[in-house]
Amino acid sequence: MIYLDNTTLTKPVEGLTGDHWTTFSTPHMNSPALFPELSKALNNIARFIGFDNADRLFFRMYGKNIFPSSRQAEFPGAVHIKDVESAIESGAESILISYASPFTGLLNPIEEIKELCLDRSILFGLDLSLAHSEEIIEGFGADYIILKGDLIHGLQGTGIVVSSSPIFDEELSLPLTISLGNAALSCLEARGRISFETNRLKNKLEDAIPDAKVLFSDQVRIPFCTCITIPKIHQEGALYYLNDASIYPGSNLSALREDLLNSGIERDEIFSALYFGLSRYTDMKEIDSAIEKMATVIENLRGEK
Amino acid sequence: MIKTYFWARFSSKLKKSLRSLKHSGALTATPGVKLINGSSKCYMRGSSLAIYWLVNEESLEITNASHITLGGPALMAAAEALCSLSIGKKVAQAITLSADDLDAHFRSRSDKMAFPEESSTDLNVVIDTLDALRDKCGEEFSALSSTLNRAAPMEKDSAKEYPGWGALTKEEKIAVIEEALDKEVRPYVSMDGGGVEIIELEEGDRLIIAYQGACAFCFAATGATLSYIQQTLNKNVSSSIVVVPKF
Repeated sequence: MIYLDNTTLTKPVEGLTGDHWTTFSTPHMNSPALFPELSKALNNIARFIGFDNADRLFFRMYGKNIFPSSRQAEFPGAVHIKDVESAIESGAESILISYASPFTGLLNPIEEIKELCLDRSILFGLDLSLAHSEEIIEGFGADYIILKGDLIHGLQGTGIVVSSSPIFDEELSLPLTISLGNAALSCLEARGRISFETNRLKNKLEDAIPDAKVLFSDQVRIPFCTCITIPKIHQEGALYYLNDASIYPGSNLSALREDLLNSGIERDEIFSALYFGLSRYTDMKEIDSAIEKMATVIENLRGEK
Repeated sequence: MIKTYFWARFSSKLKKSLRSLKHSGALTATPGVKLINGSSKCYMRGSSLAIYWLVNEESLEITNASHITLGGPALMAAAEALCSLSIGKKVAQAITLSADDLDAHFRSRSDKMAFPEESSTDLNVVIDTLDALRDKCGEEFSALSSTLNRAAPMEKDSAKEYPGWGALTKEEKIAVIEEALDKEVRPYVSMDGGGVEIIELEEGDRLIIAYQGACAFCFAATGATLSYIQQTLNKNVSSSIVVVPKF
C-alpha cells in the first residue's frame, strides 16, 4: 500500500501507543512509570511546536474537525485577510487558522491575521499540524496552538491545544497524549527529510502524471502537499481505481471541492482534482510505483487502453 | 450504526465488473445498423454519462452497447449493467429496464442490494440516460414512436377517474388522494427511506406536497419520483391533479 494522503489518517507511527500500553494498563507498574512517560510525551509535543519544554504549557485534548479551509480570496487559493475580517462576528473570542491548506498546500496569511487579532483584542489560534520546519514555527506568537494527531501520523481523533497562559487547562487522556507525543517525536526526527527529500518526490509526482495541471504551482506551498487536476477524468472514478491498485491519495473529496470552488477554480476542473500528501514514509520506490499505476488508471478511465 | 463507505458495500459481482469494464468506449455505425446515443449529466456530482446503442434497422434489436462515463464507480457499474442488459434485446424491451433491473444484474445475494442506497443518484443518471435513448429511438424509428413516447398524455380510457371527483369537497378530495398515496406511492418511496406528505390542495387541483426522509435530499425527487406521483394520481384519482413539490 502506498499512502499519499498526509491529510487524513495515514500510516501511524509504529508502536504509537501499544509499546507503551503496559505502562499505564498494569496496576503494579502504574505510579512509578506513568509520569515519566507522560512527561516525555508532553515535552515531545512542546518541542514539535517550538517550545523548549512543556513546563509552562497548558493543554487541552482536542478532537476532529478543527481545520479551517481556504475561502474566497483576491488571488486563488489563499485566504485573504479581508475575508477573515468580514467573517468576524461581534463577540468573537478567537480566530483559529491553519498554517496551510491541507489540500492545496497554500500558506495562509498568518502574520496579517495575527495583527488583526491584536487590533480586535481577540485570541489568535494557529493550527501547526502541517508546519514542517522550526524556522517557520518560531516567532508566530500565537495565543494558542493546535496539533491534529492524524496529520502528524498520530491516531485519528487525537489532538491537542497548547497555550503558554492558562486559557485552557484540563486533564489529559493518557493513551492519546502518549500516542501524540510519539507522533510528535517522529515528526521532529523527520523534519529535514520533509523539507527537502519530500519536496523532490512531490515535484517528480507532479511532473510525471500525464496531462496533469498542478494547481497553484506559482504560489508558495508547503513542500509535501499538492493538488492536481487531470482532464477527462472524474475524481471519484480515479480514486476508486487508485485505491484498488493500493494507491491512497487524499480522499476527502467533498472538502476538496469546497476548498477549490471557494478558490475560484472552474467547476469542471474541480471534479477532476485529486490531492496528494507525501510524508516522511514516502520514498522514491513508492513514487515510481504510484506514477506507473496512475498512468494505467488514467488510460483505463479514458478508454485509451 | 457505523457504516463503511458505500464503495466497500458494493456486491462482489459489481466489484468484479469494475475490474474489467466490458462496454467502455464509443461505437460506430455499420450498414444496416444505426448508432443511437443518449446522454445525461448530474450537475451536483460533476458526472456525465453517454450510452451508445447499435440498433439493427430491420429487427430493431440492439446488437451492441457501450458507454463513456465520467463519474464514480457506481455510475460506471450502472452503465455497464445497462449495456449488458441491453444487448440482444429489442429497443422496446430495453427502454423498460429499471434501476431494479440494474441492481438485480449485479446482485451476489438475492436479499442484498448490489448498489448500496448511496448509489441512487448514479442510478438516476443512468435512468435519465435511458429516457434520452428512448426519445432518440422514437425520433429515429418511426415504427416505435408511439410505443416509446412515455411522455405522451395518458389516454382518457386508461385513467380511472374517481367517481364524482368534481363534486367532492376539498377534505374529501384530500382523503381520496391520501388513500392513493398510501396504496401506490408511499410503500415504494419508503423502501428508499423516503416519504411524501400533503401540504395543501389548492384551487384547480394543484396539490402541494413535501418530501420527507431520504426523498428530501434525493435528486429524483424533482424528476422520476415526482413524475411517478403525478402519473399515479392522474391515473388513479383525477387527470386534473397537478403535483407541486415544496422544498
